[in-house]
Amino acid sequence: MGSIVKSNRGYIEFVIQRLSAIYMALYVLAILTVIFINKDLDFEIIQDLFSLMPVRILTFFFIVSILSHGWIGMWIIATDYINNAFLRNLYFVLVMGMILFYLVWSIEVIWGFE
Amino acid sequence: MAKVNKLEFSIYRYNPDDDKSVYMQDYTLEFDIEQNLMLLGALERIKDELDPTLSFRRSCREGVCGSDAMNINGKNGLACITPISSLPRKIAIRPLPGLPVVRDLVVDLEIFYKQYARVKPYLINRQPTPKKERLQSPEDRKKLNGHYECILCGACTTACPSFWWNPDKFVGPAGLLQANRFIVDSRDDAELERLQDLQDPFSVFRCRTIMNCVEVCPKKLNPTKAINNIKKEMLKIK
Amino acid sequence: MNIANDSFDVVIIGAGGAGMRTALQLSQSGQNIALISKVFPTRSHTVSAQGGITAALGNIDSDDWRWHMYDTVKGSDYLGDQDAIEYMCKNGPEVVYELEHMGLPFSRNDDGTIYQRPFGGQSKNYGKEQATRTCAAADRTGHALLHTLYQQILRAGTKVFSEWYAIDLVSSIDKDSISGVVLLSIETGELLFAKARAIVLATGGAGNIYQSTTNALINTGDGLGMALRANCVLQDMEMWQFHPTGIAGAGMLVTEGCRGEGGYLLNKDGVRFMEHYAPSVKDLASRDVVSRAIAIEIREGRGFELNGVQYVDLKIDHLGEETIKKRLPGIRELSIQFAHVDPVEKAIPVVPTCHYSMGGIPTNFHGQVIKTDRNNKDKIVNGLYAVGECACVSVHGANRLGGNSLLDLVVFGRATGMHLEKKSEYTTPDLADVDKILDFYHKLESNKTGENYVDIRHSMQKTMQDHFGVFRTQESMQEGLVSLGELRDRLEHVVLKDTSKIFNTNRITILELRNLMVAACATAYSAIERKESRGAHSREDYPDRDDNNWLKHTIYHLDDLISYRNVNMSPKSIDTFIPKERVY
Repeated sequence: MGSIVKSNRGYIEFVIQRLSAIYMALYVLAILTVIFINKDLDFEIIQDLFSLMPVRILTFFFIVSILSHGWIGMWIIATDYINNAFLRNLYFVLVMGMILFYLVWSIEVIWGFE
Repeated sequence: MAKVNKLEFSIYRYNPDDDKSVYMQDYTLEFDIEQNLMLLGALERIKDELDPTLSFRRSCREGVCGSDAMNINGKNGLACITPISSLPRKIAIRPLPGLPVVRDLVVDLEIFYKQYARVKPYLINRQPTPKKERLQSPEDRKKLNGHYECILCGACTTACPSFWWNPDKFVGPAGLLQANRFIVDSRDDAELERLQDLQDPFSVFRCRTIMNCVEVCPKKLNPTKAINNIKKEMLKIK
Repeated sequence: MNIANDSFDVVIIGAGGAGMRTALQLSQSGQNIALISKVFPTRSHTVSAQGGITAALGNIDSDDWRWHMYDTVKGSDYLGDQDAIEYMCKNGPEVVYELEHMGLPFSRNDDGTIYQRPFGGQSKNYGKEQATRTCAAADRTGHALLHTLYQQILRAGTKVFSEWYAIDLVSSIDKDSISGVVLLSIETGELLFAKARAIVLATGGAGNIYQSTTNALINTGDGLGMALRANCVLQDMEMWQFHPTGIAGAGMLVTEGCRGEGGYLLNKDGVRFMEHYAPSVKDLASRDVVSRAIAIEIREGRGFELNGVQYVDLKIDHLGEETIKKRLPGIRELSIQFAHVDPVEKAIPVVPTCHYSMGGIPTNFHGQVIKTDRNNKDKIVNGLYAVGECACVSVHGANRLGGNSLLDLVVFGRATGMHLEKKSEYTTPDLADVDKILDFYHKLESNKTGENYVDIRHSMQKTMQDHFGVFRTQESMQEGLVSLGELRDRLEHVVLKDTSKIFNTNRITILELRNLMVAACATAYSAIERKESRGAHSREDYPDRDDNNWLKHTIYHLDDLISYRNVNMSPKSIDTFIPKERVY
């Protein structure tokens, strides 16, 4: 039947998608809470907030969640709709490239490269 | 006097033997509305009275053999238990979607049957065979309800987009319903093996829970629930 | 002969309960077999069996296979062969346990054993109290059985020719044996000559000879036609069971299990009329008895009538919603769909409907086909077996008991498989036979003008319904015979309007009609010959059973002649059940 390689991937991806979704929802809720609590939110406060190491780490996890969630979703879409192997691989390279780019960029945004 | 009514049919036609293309053919059938006519009865009459070349499968004509699943006004169903009275006066009939058409309303179900066979749809029990029956409590037996009644008509699987895109890799609702039937059978001792066999990104996890299968099942079964149970059992064994 | 050919150890034609049980036995013993089926196996008509499979397990009440045997002999109105009935009843429990081990989802008792329900004609202690003997998977036992067997042949890796149609058998050059069969792929139109050490016919019933039947549209007596054309004979073809409870106007079966669970019949005056016809067991009398009772009620004006359809009521609503949903869910579904009645609230309109052919190709209990010559001598047909409804072992005699047909399928399917485990030699096929079949096939192809198959089929069904139904008389049957003769002649000139090779159901329908006509004529000639009333064969001009002259099987030959064969009265391990008056 087809070319299915037996692996744990199906299960792991299923779990990652759900865990990352839960984490993203919690993170967004937390950020929104901060925004609503601080009536006069300004750049200073935001900068202070994001200079805290725990916030930076949690934000980094948020980025990783988005990117892994996105990758799994995009991979599934491609394996549903793109039948041509060359086009599909090309698409994977492009998406993976983008994801890596976002990863590096977000690290730079969070920690800054002096 | 019998009350007569007219039905207009538009039926998908294709015969690789002499047709160059696929087309919809129109038929008009008069029938007595007092009669409790099912769609299959109407198709039989079209074949007998109007066009002997129209091809479709049928057998039990009471909804248990699963031969005459087709796409009726856009929705998959069994012709033999679809009353004409439940349909509009214009009826469009096409073969089940997502499978190669052999001729007219007859599709090639090979891949559907292969996916069924793939889930090892038979009891595996490695204990010594007892002299009498293996005991099963009524509660354990009840777990098989909603599974064993499947008639393999293919209405659910061919209504599933995930199956359309990956018919060779995604087992599809009908096959997975049977996979779960043996997973939940208290007499079966190969649950772990069954779950491992389905462990990949396609076989089970392509189900996106859109529940087309539940909507079309002529036996009112719920494959989505069964698929979710398989996923749940997979989480348990980790 | 210019068609493809192939050879197998055994070719089994028909993939219902009997064919698949035979195939399973042979696959497990490693033979190279081909299982031929004109529909995908799980579409076979076994799927429609509802109530259950009878075997003396004694899970609910004390039981004994000898009591089962007594009931079956009595139910058959003493026309059943007692050696075969003994074999079936004795092996019943074992084959049911086997099915359970294969995974068949039987309903269960609280102690975890297989659930059993009472069925008509069952008794304890040779005719005393009602027994509880029919093992059930809700009211979908046939469905559960057929799917379980298909699952097992999948597991065994059996080679299935799905959607292949068997046209005719091919004899050996010395005409003493059967050597092969010519097959047609429905999907591609490809013809194949399959040579085999043995052919097993498991083609099921032929209920479509009647207008109103519980049978599937595919039940066209293909095995009967093939066997007769191969110079074999047909036995007891006058014995057609009319099931008491088919949905009025639609024909769908309503299981006897309804009455087993406590349902009963009512006429339009609200009278539970079975009390008059069978005072002790009432609604659980044998099927022939109940069917006749209903027919009499209707004829004497005590039936209901709606849109020209007459019927009586089957009341089960008093069983309660919970029991109906648990034990009879399929019946509820069918009743809502085809009678527009929810049995939880209202009675189901029912009428006796053609259901089962007790007659068929005579065999011994190994499944070997028996031929008789005019001197009433049995002869085994080398290389040919028959099993299931198309066969006449004969365990059902003149009337089958409910729950005995699924048992018949698996007991004799298994027995046939076991008998074939010892390989016989190939015989040399007579290729002239193959050419004859091909000539017929091509002639059908080239008939451009002639008779319309639809008219012939409808007229045949109407003739059978009107002249060979529940009640029969010489005069009426004579008339029926004349019209059947004309129809048979017209069929010779039938036109095939669709000559496409691909999935040509028009061609298949005509080939099937040819076999139906054989079954209809066999029925008519046998019925007119049997001048007594026995079991399902009920003659108004000869209302009594006549053991002195008619305790014998009728044998129908290719040239419409009838001969007779003795009933086997010699079981091996128990005393003969001597014919007695049959009271319920």
